[in-house]
Amino acid sequence: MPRKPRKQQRNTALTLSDTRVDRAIRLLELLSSTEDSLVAANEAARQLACTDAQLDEAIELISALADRESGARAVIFRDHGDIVLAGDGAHLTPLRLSLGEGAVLAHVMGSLALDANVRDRLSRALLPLAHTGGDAPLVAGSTSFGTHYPALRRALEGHRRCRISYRSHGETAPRERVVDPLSIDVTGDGAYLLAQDVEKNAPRRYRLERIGRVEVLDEPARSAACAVPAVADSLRASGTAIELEIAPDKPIPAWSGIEQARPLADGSTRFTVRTSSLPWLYDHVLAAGGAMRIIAPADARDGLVSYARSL
Amino acid sequence: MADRHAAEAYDDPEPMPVDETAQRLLNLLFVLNAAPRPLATEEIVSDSDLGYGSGNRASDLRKFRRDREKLEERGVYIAELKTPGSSETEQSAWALDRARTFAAGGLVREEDARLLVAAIDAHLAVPGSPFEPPLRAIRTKALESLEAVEGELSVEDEATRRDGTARDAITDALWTAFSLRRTIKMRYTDAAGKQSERVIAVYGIFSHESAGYIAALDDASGEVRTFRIDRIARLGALGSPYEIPDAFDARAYLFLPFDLASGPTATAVFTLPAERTEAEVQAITYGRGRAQREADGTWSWTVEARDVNAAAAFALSHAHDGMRPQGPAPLVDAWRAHIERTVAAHAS
Repeated sequence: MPRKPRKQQRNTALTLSDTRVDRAIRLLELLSSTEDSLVAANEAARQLACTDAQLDEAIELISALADRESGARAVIFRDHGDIVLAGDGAHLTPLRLSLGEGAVLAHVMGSLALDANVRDRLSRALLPLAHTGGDAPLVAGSTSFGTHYPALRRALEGHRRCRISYRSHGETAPRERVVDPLSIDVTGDGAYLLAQDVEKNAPRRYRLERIGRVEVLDEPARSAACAVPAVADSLRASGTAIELEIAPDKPIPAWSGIEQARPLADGSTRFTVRTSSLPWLYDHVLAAGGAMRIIAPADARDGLVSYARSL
Repeated sequence: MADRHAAEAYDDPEPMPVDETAQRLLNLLFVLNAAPRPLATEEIVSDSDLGYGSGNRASDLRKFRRDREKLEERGVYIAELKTPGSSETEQSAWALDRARTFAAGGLVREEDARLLVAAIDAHLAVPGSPFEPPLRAIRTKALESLEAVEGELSVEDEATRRDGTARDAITDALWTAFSLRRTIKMRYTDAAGKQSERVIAVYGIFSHESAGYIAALDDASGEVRTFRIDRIARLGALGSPYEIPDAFDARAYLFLPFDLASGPTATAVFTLPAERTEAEVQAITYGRGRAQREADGTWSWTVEARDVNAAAAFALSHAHDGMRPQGPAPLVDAWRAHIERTVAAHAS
């Protein structure tokens, strides 16, 4: 007779036994995945997010595993700074992802516009079989990686030069640039390609979602790897200094490039921001609806008023 | 400051001498993994080396059933095999359900793993992301799924490498509850500093502007609410199982500035120029509402807004992208008022 479903599952904590079983399984997976069935203890502790004592506990649990019928046993020991799994008895193929991990994998593959064939292979290999690909996403993120991440990644790994079409803030249409990709940088406000602009011979940051097209060229990137300055440092070095004033009840914006804030007697605050894009600044002053105003220079103030009247 | 105690489930005291339950669960996995043939029920429940064989068969059978459920929660599936035509009274045999349990090695190519690892590292770099625990697990499994892994792939980017032991136990516990689809008790401190105790069913998890959030069915209100993870003071025991409604979509909870108000919503319509790509529109709108191309190629974005003034300010912050409000009239009026006040402020 088919077993009746249980009416109600008891309230249970995730017990210590559960976490110990998890840890031991993860350690077996980790050891089984390495060529010599050996992993540095500190690396294992980091991967398992556990202490050295908890690692010992997992080793002890595994070392007691034995199968009377086949005679198989798990042989695991510490060898100086390493953990070693000897013999094949306890080798464990990696488990499929949990439902939570599967939801994140689906999100990663979707947000980076991975090729459908790659997605299919990864899904079939790793996702839990209960995961159905057509469902709406259960995890999400506000960071946009655009649609050219795989091509940019290929260019970065192959050290290839690229032709990209890119629309910077304030431009109405994209224009082409030839760049040597250096890295991809993710910050609180977006994901960027850091690259050397070949024509300008200077490092630049390109927001990924504004890159309209990527052509990986059949020529090597020739720009030497160089450190692209942080946004604040770059603005400090080359940004235009604009003095602004903000109303008493309003907070100073959390922009990069803000310096020299000082309170005034009426409760308002004056501060200087360095910006590489006046159009960007104009939009944000307008969004403040009169609570923020440009004090100097005069041509920036006049430029804002002209722009506002054109809208 | 919120009390950031780890969930009680993660309060790991001094190691105990022998954890018989953990030992029995691992032994069951080990024996079934090593067994060349399915094992009969009797072979399992009478085996004292395995942790059963107490002399009380009914008790051992119950223990075996609970152990199967426990292992299933850990992603290890044990299949019951019956000989075709056998009666219900004949005993079953048991074997690991390898297709459900194990990742399919050989499917993942080296270039897939390489791309996936880079993609994961890009996501690990998102500030304040709540996805770190699952991302690290996926990264490891992607590499483990390859027969031969180049050494360089296992080395993490220094920028994304953090001390795993310092990982937030609250975030770990949320992922466990979400993966197991089990409710969890939560003590939460809202933005006004008010504390509450609730039982939640986590439907979705999302990162938004350098912070992590959950969208969860909340027993206090009976509604799906958004909670900021760093305002969760404590998590308790896992509770009953639940199912996530098919229609749930975490993207709908990526909030915009004009969502943060109470009261009724207005249907706001904005336009964007035809030159904007889908990726640009997606980045501005977070995929909220409905964005579609009109016959002339321009974009029309329709979205519910609770705060018309904030919606006008949002459109102005994207004015150079070509964003313009089309309606309703109060939204267009608010846009004009923002511009007029700005011009007036600069005339003085």
